Amino acid sequence: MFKSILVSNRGEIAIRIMKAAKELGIETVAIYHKVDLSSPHVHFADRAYEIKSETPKSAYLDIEQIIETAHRSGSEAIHPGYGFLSERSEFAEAIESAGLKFIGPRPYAIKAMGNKTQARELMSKAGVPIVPGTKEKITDLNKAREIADLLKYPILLKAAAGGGGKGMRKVENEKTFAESFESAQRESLKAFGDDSIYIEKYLENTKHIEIQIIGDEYGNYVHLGERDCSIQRRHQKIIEEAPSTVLDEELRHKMGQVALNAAKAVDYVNAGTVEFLFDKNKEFYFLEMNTRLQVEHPITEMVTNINIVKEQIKIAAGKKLSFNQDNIKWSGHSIECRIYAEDPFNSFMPETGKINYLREPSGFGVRVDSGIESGSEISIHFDPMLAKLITWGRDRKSAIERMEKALQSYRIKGLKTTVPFEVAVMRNDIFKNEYYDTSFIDNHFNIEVLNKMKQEYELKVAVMTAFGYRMNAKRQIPIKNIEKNSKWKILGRSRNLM
Amino acid sequence: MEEIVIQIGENEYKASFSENDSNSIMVNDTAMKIELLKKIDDRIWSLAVNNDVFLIEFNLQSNGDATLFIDGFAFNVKIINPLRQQLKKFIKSKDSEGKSRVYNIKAPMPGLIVKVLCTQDNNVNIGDNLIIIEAMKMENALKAPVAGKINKVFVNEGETVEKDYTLIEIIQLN
Repeated sequence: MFKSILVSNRGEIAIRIMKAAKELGIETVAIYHKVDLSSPHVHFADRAYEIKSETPKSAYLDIEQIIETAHRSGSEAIHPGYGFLSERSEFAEAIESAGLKFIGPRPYAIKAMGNKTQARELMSKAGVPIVPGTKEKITDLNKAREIADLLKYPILLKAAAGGGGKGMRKVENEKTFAESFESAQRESLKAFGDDSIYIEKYLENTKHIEIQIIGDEYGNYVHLGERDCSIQRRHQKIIEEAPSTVLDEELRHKMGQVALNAAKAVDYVNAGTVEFLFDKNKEFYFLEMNTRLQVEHPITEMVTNINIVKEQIKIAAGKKLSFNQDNIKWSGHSIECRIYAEDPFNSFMPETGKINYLREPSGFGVRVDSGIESGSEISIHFDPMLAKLITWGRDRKSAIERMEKALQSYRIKGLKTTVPFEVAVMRNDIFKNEYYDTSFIDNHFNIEVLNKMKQEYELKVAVMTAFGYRMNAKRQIPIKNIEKNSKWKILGRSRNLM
Repeated sequence: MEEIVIQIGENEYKASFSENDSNSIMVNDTAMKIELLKKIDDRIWSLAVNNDVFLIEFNLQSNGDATLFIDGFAFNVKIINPLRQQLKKFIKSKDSEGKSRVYNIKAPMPGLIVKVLCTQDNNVNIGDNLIIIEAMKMENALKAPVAGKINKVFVNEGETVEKDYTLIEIIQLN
């Protein structure tokens, strides 16, 4: 096993990875840009090294300095987390050629799946069903328009080089095509350094269902079942659950098998996720493969009782998978709510500011993977995800109820978060009882529900404001039950001396 | 006895304080009991309203208005004391004489102006995209809150702006 590993990431995922490493008795090394000096991941690590760079973000993208730091700190392996360098094959390559171990798949698999058009081609050959659309990249507006006409609107524009919803645009008709295409190109260029786009037919009423797979270096593969990630805003996941309400045992294994075929087609090693679009007829289509740890991996951990990150590290250290497909038993239900610094009352606009106070939920069946603490600054430099709240229940109903209660006990002061929205979803009838798809927020979520929840506080807010106003004006309202007594007097009283 | 008006959105609440009991406040003729249980810092308080416990953040601004965070909800509250009441009446009577309302579109966060989709004197409809601003790697479209005429555009493509910077002024058309 490794003696020491470096985590080339920040926030909750850096801490999540370090926890797994510490459980395995491995020393953890953090890197940070100086704006992150007081961020929790730096202080959770056994050792921390500053990366000097022009912008905060580029510190976590500086391959040369990260590898140099790994050597300097005596780290034998690097875990990239998600985002940043996690899906950059040149990073994995550089690590291997520096004599270190990349905790993740081999460079070839990252490259093959990272190029979304090439991946579609490969999958199609491996017999994995794909969404109708282009298999080549496009940069020319007119050519793109022709293809869109051929596929018939609505269509979806996607960044050929990336994922995560960046550079993605749904286009309803030819009128808005040019504007959307150019916007998608700009976003894609910024996020992935490549402005090529591919076009897919937009499938209506689909769910986003993904399969977690894991494989070792000896050709052993296991799938860990599905996650339903259909609650999305801006094509980005916000609430996930496992298992999905629309899969049964048979379909789970069928999709699992297809996902494993996809993985085998690129000689995949370590943990990965194969994403599918899933329609009302229970047909499914390959969307993409994420060749890294996913944000939402904890819900799979909760229902399979397998610590995915620990397995990742063990696999990278050359260990065989310690379980086979028959050992995987799913139990209960798990939900994840991503806690974003975003305003659900204002189209999920990102918020910046300072966490003035934080009290996170806890208790049986409640897990918080958090990257913040009281005093943390939330800047525009990084993704606005603050933490993930995960609950487990014996069945779906109890997981949802536990989530609602846990969300309600979350105390985050200083900036707006998605918590009220998530409470409302836990109470939503469609989410609770019916088929929901990726259009849930647009079609089945009424902002009025949120407004109503807020209105219920008005009378209390009025009295609190009046109280605060008066306190400020008079500065003499006492805090209840505070007696400033001398400790000697108290001691004296208790001994009957006074 | 002091009486103030608390304005939350469209609703107004009349609050009056009891002379000698700082923990009793009448709001719209309902007597409420309020206690400060714990002050975590100047702004973060644990309060009990009729014994229900809440953790709030209360910021009183220099103009007398306040923001209040409670259970994930953010409230912008106007506090109108007798002095401001007079002032408000004055402003209101002036306001009703004017015909058109002016809306300022402000930057919701610090970011980069990627695209300006409207020009001065353009007419726009509710929901039209006006500006695309990029922050945290995402492009966000700012939409017109009302139908109206673009009175002024204060930014150019490629500029970076601070939070709350005024980007566009729209005059509402009836």
